[in-house]
Amino acid sequence: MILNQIILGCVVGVYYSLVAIGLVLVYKVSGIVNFAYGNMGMMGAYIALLFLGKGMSPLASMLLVIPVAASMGYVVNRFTMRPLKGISHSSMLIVTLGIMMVFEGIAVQIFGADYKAFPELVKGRPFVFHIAGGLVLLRRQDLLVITIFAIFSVFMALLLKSTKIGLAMRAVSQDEQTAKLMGVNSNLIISIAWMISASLSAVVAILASPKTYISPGMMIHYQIEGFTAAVLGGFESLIVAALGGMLLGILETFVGDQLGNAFKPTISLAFIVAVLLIKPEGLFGRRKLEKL
Amino acid sequence: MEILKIEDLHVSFGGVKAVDGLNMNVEKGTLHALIGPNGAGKTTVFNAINGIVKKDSGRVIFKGMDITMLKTHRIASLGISRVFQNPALFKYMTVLDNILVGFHSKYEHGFVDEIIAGKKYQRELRRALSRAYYIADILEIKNRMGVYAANLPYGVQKMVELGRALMPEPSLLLLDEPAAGLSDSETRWLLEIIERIRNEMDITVIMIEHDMKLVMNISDVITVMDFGKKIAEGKPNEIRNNPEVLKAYLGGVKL
Ligand SMILES: Nc1ncnc2c1ncn2[C@@H]1O[C@H](COP(=O)(O)OP(=O)(O)OP(=O)(O)O)[C@@H](O)[C@H]1O
Ligand SMILES: [Mg+2]
Repeated sequence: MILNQIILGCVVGVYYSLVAIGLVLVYKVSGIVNFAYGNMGMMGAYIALLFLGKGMSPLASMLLVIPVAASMGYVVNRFTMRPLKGISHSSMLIVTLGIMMVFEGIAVQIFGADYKAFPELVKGRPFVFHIAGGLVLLRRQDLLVITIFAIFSVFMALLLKSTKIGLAMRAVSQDEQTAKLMGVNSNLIISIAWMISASLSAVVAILASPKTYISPGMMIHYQIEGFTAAVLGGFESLIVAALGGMLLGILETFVGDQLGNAFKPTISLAFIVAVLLIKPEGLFGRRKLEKL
Repeated sequence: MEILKIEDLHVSFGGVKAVDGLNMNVEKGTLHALIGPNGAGKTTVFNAINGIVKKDSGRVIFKGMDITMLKTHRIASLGISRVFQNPALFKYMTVLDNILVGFHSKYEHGFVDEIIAGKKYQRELRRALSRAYYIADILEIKNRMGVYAANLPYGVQKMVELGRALMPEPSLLLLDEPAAGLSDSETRWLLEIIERIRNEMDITVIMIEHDMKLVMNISDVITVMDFGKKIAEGKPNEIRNNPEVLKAYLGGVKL
């Protein structure tokens, strides 16, 4: 039974992991905790819905949204974050909170507040596994998410490890000034991080929408869980953030099973407080020397 | 022929005139020292060349091109490298990765080449690696390539920073107090390397340095600054006996 719960927990957590990766990526490169992150994905989901309405397949709609979301990430960074560079962390936090609410407002105005359905990208009977005496039901969509997660993780790992852009990203994240002196166009690197991050958020929103339905507030839960996962790693490491997402998913599944679903939403917040109290640098984070 | 011209440069912070109307010409192929008491404005001159600080007025001309208004990363890409007063390595990167960042502006492949890991990307990577090991060999840091920069002794960190600055085959190298914090033997070793940089690699060097023995030993030209102004300029033996210079140092350092 426990193995069962762990697998189901990972299926829940993989969404959180993806959200967390996008959050940490932007934070590491630009020092910004982006509260508008989830809502950029929410906007992406609505745009996917528009494509769907034009008769495109769900998959095509999602793929078409990626460049749109990337542009959105670019624009938000270029016209709000970059001009504000250098203001305090807390001010920056308020700005991203503001952008988050602006997105929500725009969505309510244009698309209304009601829930809209979005189909699964892959249809078909769920897979049934017999594991440790129990049954595990995996929807094809869930397997797709896990596959996307795996591919994206490998992509990021290779990008950061062995490409000039990845190396430049790491350099900017550690010391932007010095990176510039090495000829790295840090503004471009930060833009790229925002574009990757916004695309990722849109993909998560679209993949989650068969479960959550599309609505202006659809990403709030994911934003909080992703944030929690990121904090577990002290906003340091993409890998720990990804693991943190899984851990939260598993925790949530156990709590839902043992204590009832009513406790689910509070568990991650309780967890975040506990972690910050006990280990402010994150569960697996190393002690911070500087900004990062 | 001069590789760098600084014309009537003014930089101030609040009320402090850090650089106050500096004119300076650096001849190609020379080792040009920039000296002066603490707070004279030497580092600020470097920062102005690099485009890190806002200039109130004046111009910086590099190889005949006005770079006064260019962005920091563009200036670096043109072939001006910088080594800091305090080592500014990327702490959570290995020595090799630190050095490779120095090659950033030299790569000829694009984003798509990286994504598909094409032939061009692999060729460029090989080019970067072979230069990295060539430089590491000269600086004798080859056996440290896998070590994280934060774990290196101070002297080695300085060498790594020098290596990173040499990666892009710059035509001008700005060294800010390279000998500070080094032992006598490390300083002698550094002197040898700086001479190799000028003579063999054909790189013009501007060096800020407080170690007068080192300065007098290897400089072709010395510019002396005090309170943001140039107070003397000339060959080492001209500077050695210049009364203005002696006054500025006021018994602080015997030249
Ligand atoms: N970023 C800055 N903000 C404010 N003041 C600065 C800044 N950088 C330099 N200064 C001031 O400008 C003056 C010149 O400083 P600078 O660092 O250029 O001197 P320096 O000649 O390099 O001295 P040292 O030999 O001690 O390194 C000093 O009074 C310093 O306090
Ligand atoms: Mg200085």
